[in-house]
Amino acid sequence: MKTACHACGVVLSIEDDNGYKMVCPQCSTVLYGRNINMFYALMFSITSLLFMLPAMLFPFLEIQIQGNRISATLFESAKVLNDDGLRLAALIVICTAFLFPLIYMTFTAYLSFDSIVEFTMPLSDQTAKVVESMKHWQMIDVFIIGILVSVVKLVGMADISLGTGFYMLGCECFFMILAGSYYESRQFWFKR
Amino acid sequence: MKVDSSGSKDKWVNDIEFGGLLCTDCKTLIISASDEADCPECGSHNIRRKKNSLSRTWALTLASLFLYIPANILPIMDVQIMGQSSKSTILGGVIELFNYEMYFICIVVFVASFVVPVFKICSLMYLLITVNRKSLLNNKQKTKLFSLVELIGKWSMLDVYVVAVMAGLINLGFLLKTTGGYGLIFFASVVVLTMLASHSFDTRLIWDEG
Repeated sequence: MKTACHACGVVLSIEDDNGYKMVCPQCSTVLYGRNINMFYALMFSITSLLFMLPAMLFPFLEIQIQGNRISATLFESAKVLNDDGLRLAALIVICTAFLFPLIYMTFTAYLSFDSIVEFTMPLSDQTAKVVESMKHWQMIDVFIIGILVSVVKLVGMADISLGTGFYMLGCECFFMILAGSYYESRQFWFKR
Repeated sequence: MKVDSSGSKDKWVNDIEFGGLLCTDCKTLIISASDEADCPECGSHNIRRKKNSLSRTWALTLASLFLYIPANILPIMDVQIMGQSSKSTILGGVIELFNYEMYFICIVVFVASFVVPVFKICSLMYLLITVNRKSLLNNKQKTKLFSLVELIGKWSMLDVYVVAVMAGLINLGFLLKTTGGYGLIFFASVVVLTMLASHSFDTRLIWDEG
C-alpha cells in the first residue's frame, strides 16, 4: 500500500500490518502506533461510557461552610456560569467536558465494533473523521486537574472533600486514554 | 510494519513530485495530477494541502493575540464576602497562590494559563513567518515544535474549569458568593482560537520547496 507522511508529505510504501511501530524516515513523526488492538479499544470505550453517567450525576466536590453542606456536579457548575451571564463559557465547559468525550467514546466503540465484525456498519467513514477531531477537543483530563486545583485553592477556606463523581471522572478518563491508545482509524481499512 | 521510501536517502520524494495526494481518512496515496480528488478506497474528498492554510492560521492567531489583551486585563473571577467583592485576573490569581505559599499549584496554574497560551501564539507566528525560509530551527525541529503546540493546546483551559468549579460550589448568597468575570469568555475564546489555528496549519508546507 502506497501512502504518504501526513506531516511532511514524503511518499512511503508500507507492507501489511504486523504490529510494529511506524515512524516517518524524514521527519520522525509516528505514523502508526504499536499495540493496536481494536477489540481492546471496544472493551475500554464501553467501560469508559459506563462510567460517564455516574460521573455526571454524582457531585465531584463536597464542601461544608458554616454548617451548610454544598456539592457540585458539572451541570450545576455550568448552570451557575450561564446564570452569571457567561453563556459562552458555560457552553464551552459543557461541550469539552461532557459532549465531546461522549461523542468520542461512542464513535470509538462503534468503529472498533465495525472493524471486528464481518460486515460493514453504515456511516463508518464519516464517523472516523469525527473521532479524529474529537480526540483533540475532549478535555476530561484538564477538567480533573482543574478540580484538584480548586481543591487546593479552597482547602484553607472550608472543609472540603472529593465526591463520588470525582473518582468516576478519574475512571472515565483512564479508560478513555486506554481506548484511545489501542484505537487506530487506519485499522479498519485493512479489513476491506 | 515495514517502511520503504521511494527515492534515495539524500532526497525524499514528496507527494507533489510523485503526482499524488494523501487521503486524510484512510491514508491511501491517491494518484492524481490535480489538487483535489476523491479517494478510490473510501470515497472521501481530499485536497492536497489544507485550504488557505497560511492565511487562515494567520487570521486565527492574530485574532487570539488581540483577544489575549482583554483576557488578561478583565477579571476572570469575583469573590464576594458579605457584599464586598474582590476581583482577580489570571495573573492576579497566580500571585495570590504565590502569597499563600502554594508554590507547586502556583507553578501549575502559571504554566497552564500564562506560559502555554503565550508559547502557542509565539510558536505559531514563528512557524508562519519562517514557513518557507531558512531559520534557526531546521524542518524536523519545526515539525516537532508544531506537534508540541498541538499537544499542549487544551491545557490552558485549566483556569476556565477552575472558575467553573469554584462558581458552582461557592454560592451561599449574600454571605459568600463566587462568580465568573467577563475575562473568562475572552480567555476561553483565546484557547479555542489558538486550537483552531493550529488545526488549520499544514506542516507539509514547511517541507514544500519554493
